[in-house]
Amino acid sequence: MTALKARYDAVVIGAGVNGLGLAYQLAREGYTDVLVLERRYIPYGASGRNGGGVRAQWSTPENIALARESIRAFRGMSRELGFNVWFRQGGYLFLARTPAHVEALRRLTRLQRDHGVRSRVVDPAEASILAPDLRLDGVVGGSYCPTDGIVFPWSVVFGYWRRCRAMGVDVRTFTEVLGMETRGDRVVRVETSRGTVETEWVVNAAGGWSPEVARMVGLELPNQPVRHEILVTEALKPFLDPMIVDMASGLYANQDMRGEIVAGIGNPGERAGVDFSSSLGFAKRLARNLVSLLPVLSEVRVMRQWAGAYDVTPDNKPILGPAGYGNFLQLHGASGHGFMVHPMTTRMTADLVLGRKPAMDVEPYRLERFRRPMPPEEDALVIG
Amino acid sequence: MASDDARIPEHDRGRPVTLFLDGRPCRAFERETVGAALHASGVRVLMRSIKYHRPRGLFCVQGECASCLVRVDGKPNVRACMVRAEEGMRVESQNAFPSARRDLLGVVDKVYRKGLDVHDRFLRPRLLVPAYHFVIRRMAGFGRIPDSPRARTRPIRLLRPDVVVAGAGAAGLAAAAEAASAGRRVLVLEAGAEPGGFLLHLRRPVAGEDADGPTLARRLAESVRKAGGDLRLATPAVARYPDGVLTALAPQGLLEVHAPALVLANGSQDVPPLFLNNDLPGVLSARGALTLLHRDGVRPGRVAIVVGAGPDADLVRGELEAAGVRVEAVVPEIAAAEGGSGVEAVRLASGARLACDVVVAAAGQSPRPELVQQAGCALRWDEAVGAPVPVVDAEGRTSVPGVWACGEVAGAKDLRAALEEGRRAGRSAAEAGGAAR
Amino acid sequence: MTTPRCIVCTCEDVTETELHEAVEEGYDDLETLKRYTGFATGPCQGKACVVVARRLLARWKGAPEGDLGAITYRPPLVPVPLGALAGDEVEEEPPREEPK
Repeated sequence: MTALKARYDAVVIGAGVNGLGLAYQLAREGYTDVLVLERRYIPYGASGRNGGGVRAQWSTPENIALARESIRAFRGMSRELGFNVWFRQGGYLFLARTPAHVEALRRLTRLQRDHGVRSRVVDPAEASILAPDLRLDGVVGGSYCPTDGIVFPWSVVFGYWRRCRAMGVDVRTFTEVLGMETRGDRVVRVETSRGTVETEWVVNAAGGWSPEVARMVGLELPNQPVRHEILVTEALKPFLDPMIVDMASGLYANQDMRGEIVAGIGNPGERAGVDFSSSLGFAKRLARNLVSLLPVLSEVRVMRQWAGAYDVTPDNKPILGPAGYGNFLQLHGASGHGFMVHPMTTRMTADLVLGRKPAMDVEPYRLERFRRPMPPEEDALVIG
Repeated sequence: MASDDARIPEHDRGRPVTLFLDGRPCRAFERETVGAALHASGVRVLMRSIKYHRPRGLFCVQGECASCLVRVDGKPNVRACMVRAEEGMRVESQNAFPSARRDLLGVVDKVYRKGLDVHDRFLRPRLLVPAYHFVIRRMAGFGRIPDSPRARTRPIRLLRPDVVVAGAGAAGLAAAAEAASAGRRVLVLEAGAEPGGFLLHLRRPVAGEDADGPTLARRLAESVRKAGGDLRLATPAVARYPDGVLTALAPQGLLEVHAPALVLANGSQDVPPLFLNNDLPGVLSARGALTLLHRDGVRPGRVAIVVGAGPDADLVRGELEAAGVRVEAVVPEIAAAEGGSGVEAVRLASGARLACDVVVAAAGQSPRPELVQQAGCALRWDEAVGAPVPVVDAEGRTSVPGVWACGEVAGAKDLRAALEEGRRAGRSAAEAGGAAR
Repeated sequence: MTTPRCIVCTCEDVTETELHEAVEEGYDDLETLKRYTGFATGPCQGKACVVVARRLLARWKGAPEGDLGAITYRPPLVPVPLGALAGDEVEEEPPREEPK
């Protein structure tokens, strides 16, 4: 393996979908002198652990906008990368079990439509047509957006990685960032386990470990990593088109391109911290809820359960833009939907590096927002 | 090629039953597995593989390799080698049309001769991409969803023994017998239909003991039961969670085991062979062939080639010949197996071809790594075994308090070592298992 | 006749050639190789293929096998029907202490 160079135009910390997606966006514009550092293997973090959901049904204008634009990017991604990411727009079907939730969905779909997303309220009869095997006892309504969908996560990461390498980006695995040196308003040096490099830009794309990285320059981030567990069943012939979300329990389930059912459910008692271990409690809770909703799955077998961390901020929206230092860009905090909004968040970050007007305004996402007297609106539609 | 003489006459297989394969009746016996019954009837192709639609059939015969998945009574992905035949059972091919034997999509294997990397294919022309996705999605997935839409949930049974032993091979039974004799409540979890593990295949007097393997296994199992041990068969350990809970899958449902002492004795598994067409029906692992012979009483074929060397290969040859299978040759390696829907010959590196209808691969064993890793045990690389094994002290204690490991899973090299390690671990676990309560 | 292939992962139909090509392309640690090729991600979850893949990887990289690590083995080790995880918990009576 060749030694690191003494200097790079930009150093990106983290080679998940954000880090590699950003490097790809930069390289595509000819900005190729980029070093991407990954402490473990690719894809180790959330990019290698998520359920592949891509939706625009969010509850704040910022998240809706990020997701809506990102979905456009997902549609053309396989072609652009020359790598199959298997994006399938089978829709997301939210199920409500109380009048209050139905009312919320009515309000939310209206907000989503106001922001260019074709979601709509559905009644149980229509839900049954959209997903015939659902047991809809207790379901009083729902919402559906046909352009939401599912992507195969590791394929996206591999697609970026391959293109980055081909365009001359330096991607290093098993290389740890040990510290950073600052001078005035800038981060000037990054010390790694393979040597120290000087640079113009440093991007913190370390997901659940972003606070650890930020602390190296004395910056405190409000992000908390929170474990979310997930499981996958044996592969079956296709029978389920949309992603199903049960609002009451936070259960989500979809059938991926390989035919496997991928499902998760939240644990309200989960403590903060990076914890990738599996628990029996999750498997039982998920099975109970999933079999209740899709009884036909009771004889379908669980093949594997695993876990990842949602990188959670107080308002469930990402942190972007510079923080602490003028050239220290944040690219994290997407609270369980980082993968699905990465096309926009990486594009906005690339715009900052390239000195262009960002594709979308970065201001609402800056770290400063948490210091304002009026706390920003929290997105209520985090699931799983 | 159906032949009743594939069944070994003296084997106790219970009463005859009739099962149906893709609608056609097939003779079976109530103590035979579906896989064995079909094999004895000359049906070797049980399914087609996921990408290339290659013919597949029995290989490991232990429920581990997923090469024998069939649809049984409307339920998908059933391991034919583990489910017992029942009167009127409906068995159907999966992922194949019209049948596993004559699958139209087998053409995929012939077309993509140089391989099929789905990452950068099916991207052009753009207009066809939706069609590609439509087809690929339908070719993915194995069985269809179950016929019955009714939910079938089974209670989870909570057990609280003093000591739980994973594996009822030589080491596990020895450990369980010691712990139970010391007065502890012992639960033993065994994936197989009978206790004994590899002992069941050692049909000659075992070195250092006065009996053959099955007799030794019977004695050990008896001593466990006499001492009050609870021996569960067809119940593999399924997970060891970080909080110490162990789960196991019994025929009636999940067991959730809370025990202060866990003894890992779940042994080793065969290493699959590497040669061209190593996946052809008729290629069996050593354990697979021995299980078909001893557990199911079915000869794997008429003419066998054994690929391997040393005591493992000798054992396999001996058992095959004792069962009336002609062993054409024992060779250290082969270049390829050949055949259309099943093994018909092997090709050696020299180019010579030997006709046969079964290939038994004795390519060595490897300790089962999963439970040891899940329990968080510190590991060391064992050069002789070619795999990581748990670090254990003289009492079989691993680096994790409350977890012991013994026998082949810990790298034991022979039966004597396995028995001795089992006894020590059992004794040690019994001391600790009581103290923790 | 089947096309001559040396299958490493029977569950996902990953051949020795496909693994080798992936390693040559730079996907040369077990975890990344697993996600890129799909080996060990099928119903057997690596039981039949990890040992073989590691040996091949060691040979191709010229590295000791012991340095290559392992994949993470997750629950369940045998596929478990969802219905078996969904039932109510029931305490089982301990087996009789006196032998019958």
